[in-house]
Amino acid sequence: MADAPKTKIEVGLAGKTTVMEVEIPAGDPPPYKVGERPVTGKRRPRLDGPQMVTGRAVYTHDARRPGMLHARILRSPHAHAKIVSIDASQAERMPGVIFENPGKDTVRYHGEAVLALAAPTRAAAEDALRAVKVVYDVLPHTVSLAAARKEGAPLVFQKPVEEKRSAGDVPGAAASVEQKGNVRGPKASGRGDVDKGFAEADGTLEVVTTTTVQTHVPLETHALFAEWVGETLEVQASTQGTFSVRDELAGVLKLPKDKVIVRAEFTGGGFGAKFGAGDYGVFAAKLAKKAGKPVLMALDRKEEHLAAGNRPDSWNRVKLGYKNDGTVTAVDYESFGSAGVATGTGTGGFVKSAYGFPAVRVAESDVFTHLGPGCAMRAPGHPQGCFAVETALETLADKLGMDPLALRLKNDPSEVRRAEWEIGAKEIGWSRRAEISKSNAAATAAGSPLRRGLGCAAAVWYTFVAPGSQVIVRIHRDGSVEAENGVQDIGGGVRTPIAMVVAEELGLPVARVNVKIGDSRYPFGPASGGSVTIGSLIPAVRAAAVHAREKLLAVAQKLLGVPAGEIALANGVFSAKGKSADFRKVCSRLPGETLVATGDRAKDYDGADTRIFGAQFAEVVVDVETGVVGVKKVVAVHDCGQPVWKTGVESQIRGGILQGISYALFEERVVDERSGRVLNPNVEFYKILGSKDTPEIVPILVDFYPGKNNAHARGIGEPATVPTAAAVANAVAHATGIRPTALPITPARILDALGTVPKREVKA
Amino acid sequence: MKNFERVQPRSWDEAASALAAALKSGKSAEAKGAGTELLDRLKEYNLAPDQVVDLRRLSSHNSILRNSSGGISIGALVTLSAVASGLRKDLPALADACEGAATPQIRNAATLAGNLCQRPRCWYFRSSEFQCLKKGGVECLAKSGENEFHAVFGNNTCAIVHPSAAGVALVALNARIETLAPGGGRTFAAADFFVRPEVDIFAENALKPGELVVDIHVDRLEGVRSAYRKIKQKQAFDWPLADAAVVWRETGGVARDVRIVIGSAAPVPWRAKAAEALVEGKRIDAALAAKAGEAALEGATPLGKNAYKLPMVAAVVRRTLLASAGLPDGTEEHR
Repeated sequence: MADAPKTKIEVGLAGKTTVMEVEIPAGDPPPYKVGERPVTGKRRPRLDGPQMVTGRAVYTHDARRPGMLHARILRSPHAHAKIVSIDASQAERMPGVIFENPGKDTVRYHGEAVLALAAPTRAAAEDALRAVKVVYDVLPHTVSLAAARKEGAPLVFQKPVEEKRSAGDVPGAAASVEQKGNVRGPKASGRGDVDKGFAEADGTLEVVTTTTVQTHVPLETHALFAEWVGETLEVQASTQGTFSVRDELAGVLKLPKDKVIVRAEFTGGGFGAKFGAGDYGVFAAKLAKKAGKPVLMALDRKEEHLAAGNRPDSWNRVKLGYKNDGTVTAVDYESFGSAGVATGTGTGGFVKSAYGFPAVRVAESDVFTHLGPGCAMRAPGHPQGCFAVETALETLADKLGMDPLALRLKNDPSEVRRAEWEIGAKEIGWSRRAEISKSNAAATAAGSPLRRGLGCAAAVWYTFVAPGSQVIVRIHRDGSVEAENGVQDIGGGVRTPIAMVVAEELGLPVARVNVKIGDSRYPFGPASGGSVTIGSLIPAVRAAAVHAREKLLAVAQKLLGVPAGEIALANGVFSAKGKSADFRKVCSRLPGETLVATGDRAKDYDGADTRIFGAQFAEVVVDVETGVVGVKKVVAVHDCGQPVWKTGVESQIRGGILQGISYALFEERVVDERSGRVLNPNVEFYKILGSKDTPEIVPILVDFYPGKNNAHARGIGEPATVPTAAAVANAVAHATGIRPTALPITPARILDALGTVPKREVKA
Repeated sequence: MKNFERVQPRSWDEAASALAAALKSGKSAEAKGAGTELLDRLKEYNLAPDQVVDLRRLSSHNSILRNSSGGISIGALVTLSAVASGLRKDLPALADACEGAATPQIRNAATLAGNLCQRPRCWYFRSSEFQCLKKGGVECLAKSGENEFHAVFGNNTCAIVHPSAAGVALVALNARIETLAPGGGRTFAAADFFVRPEVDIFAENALKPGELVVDIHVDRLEGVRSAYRKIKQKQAFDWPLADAAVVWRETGGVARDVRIVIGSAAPVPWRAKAAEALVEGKRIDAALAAKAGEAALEGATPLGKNAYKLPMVAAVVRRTLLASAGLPDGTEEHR
């Protein structure tokens, strides 16, 4: 086969681009050239914002039909128990109550589903739940990472467990590994010669960090509305994956894919927990079939905390080999984490990818506990791993007496990230650091309670692409334009960038493009996990729009009598050589009633780095008398390829930072060891950052051309939250001189580290 | 929640009669103000009354009145935000306690009487899955369990903390709480309104079944100074980890009739009597405030996971004293 033709494109940071030869797949437009984007890349209001804030956007929780039923799930109050018997006779006598009992014999966590039922109202379903009598034989449980690792701990599973993966997990995470007791692992990975790296080191240091379980807490809890229309199952789902819900329902219910229709126009957040149909969704579909009526299953906040997923906790050991100039020569990294009854707790991704460490050895183990299943959560493993590695680097900087940023630059070969460190340092005022240290010392001398600190940390994520995305652009004879893809909007606002890309190619105002999403009858779109949505979808949108434009130009060529190649299309007007025709006029001459153009997501070009970088800086104030931490400012410098909709990208960054601060300071699932029950499955004592805890946030995007696809499109959802907690922790360390090694950084932990907490009872 | 009958009385007397009638006929009945706290417990089946008697729309005891001698009477149905905005000059300690509670939405609805009568937030008490001492169980589960948000004083029987910030301020202000019941109402000193678990494990106040709070009275004191401060982990909607109210009279440049009350630290608003004694008759300055903060820890009995609250109690007492004297506490820059 002859070599495919190569095209020269400019890649890299604007102002420092280099030329790379790439093979552009047949039918795909060439990538945007540097500087060539009149519409995309700008800020603008969100197209569906008015619908959302006026309550006209219909979420799954809003689904209503005459005669519909409301479903609820009976959940285990025990961490581990045999189900001895279920007596539903009383509930069965209640009007309109139907059951779906999967016939489980064991429950392994507080909140595990035992059976589901549906009733004419939510209150009636609640009454019916309470009328079902379950006899449990309570078994011993283990609910902490440390206890579950010990020999003799009650076993969560008697047999080896295979890892289940969801669309939000890092590809390649699943593997068959050894399982002993409750520990599944270690899973080994890495690169370079670690032994050689340690042999060449001037010294070594080791830190251990821990993080706690974080739950996703989307505003809209998991929900699925199911309705059978003949033999077809029609579903509305609060999901991150229109098509993953369809595929799971088709698989479980043994239906062909064309007999399952899933709609997901608006989803109230997901953060990684909402990919499949879930047991709750399957219950809804089965109950709807049984009843012959539509069924809404919407979890309550307690169920959401207990059974709908979480970010696993972690224990991480980082051993660094280093040169006295701050260069890291080798890293030995070990992690244990518990996803409850699930797998996938590894935190080693960051240490392997974020910096230029020459040799890295990673061993990751899952530890089973009798707690609700963890699942993908915004940058799985990475905030944990970032906190571990950045804590180790700062500890090294302290040891060597180096500026922590200078130490990072010693170990960071990425041109993009080096630019980000520089921009961020300037914006936060990193040069004030020494002066701040001085005034902290003065405050200590004066007995004044407040200390200030600056900290930073690196982000890393990856360009994953969900293959198979396809977009249809339809143009009608009246000049109206539609763009179709089945992708869901999980809150990021994907309609707006789709419209912007189409508008740019067709020379139209953005609001003229009617974006139709969230329906499995439209062409395939990616599940929103792994920050893949924009990178997977936008090149297909652009291809479809370019193809539509080419077809319109052919019509315009006939109309204007000028070769298509010489016709310009801008501001709704086709023009060439003094002749012009407006958009509608050209459309009125379409050969068919509708012009249909499709665009496929072509495969990525080979060559460029697939990593997404980022650097964040935090400024904090710590009250050393109370241990209360306030974050004053976060500067977040990120690369996101060529952003399509800047407002949306900045909003994602802000959201990632808020979630990161909340993880750093507040969020903590509390479990009662004795009963194995979660004590705070609510948003009262599961603390989440609020408005008064929100700092000034400065998102800054570097102008970067990654050169992987026709739009230089990349995601931002995950990289934006990776470094925040670590940056806050490092700022706390600067402020107080105490190195936080456990998240969240609670007042109790700070006061304890400061030595102001009395060890035992205070004498009367 | 269980279905219940909603009773809408036309007067307070009718409300009291309705509650008495329900009790007499063996039905369970609960009085409801705004219902912000009641709803939580109904949803968790922490409470499953047959009847809910709605006081919210009654047209009396819903405003703040000033009498001829300068005393203030706050109707039971006055919202927390109305207390905060209406009494900032008169009673800064109470205004600040109400101002910082819960969220703006809650403060705009929740009533002062409801705030005083709310049940504890202890997670063992609130969850229907636990049978704690307060619910007829055999032990306080918090004492040997997860007690990071629990009591560091007076926790021998049950380790709840009383959740009312307004109560802390009212005990410090030596307010009186007036009630209504079919047999005749009573007036309590605020400190006697709240009862310790040793007195009644099933309730946190001295109200009899069916008895209703109707007014909260605060007398005018010449030269009175007051302040309320709290320490929270989160600055948006969070329960305090420690809070305090301080009230004293300025006489000849020194503090008299000093009352220092600590909140979020005991099953009732907790008088820090050693600290009061230390401050009594002295001029408040930074050194005295710091000593008083330490003295406020006298008698503390922290549990396994809440000793961290002690430095917070010391800090909040120190800061509240300084605030009451109009002195800086070193945290101004942060606020």
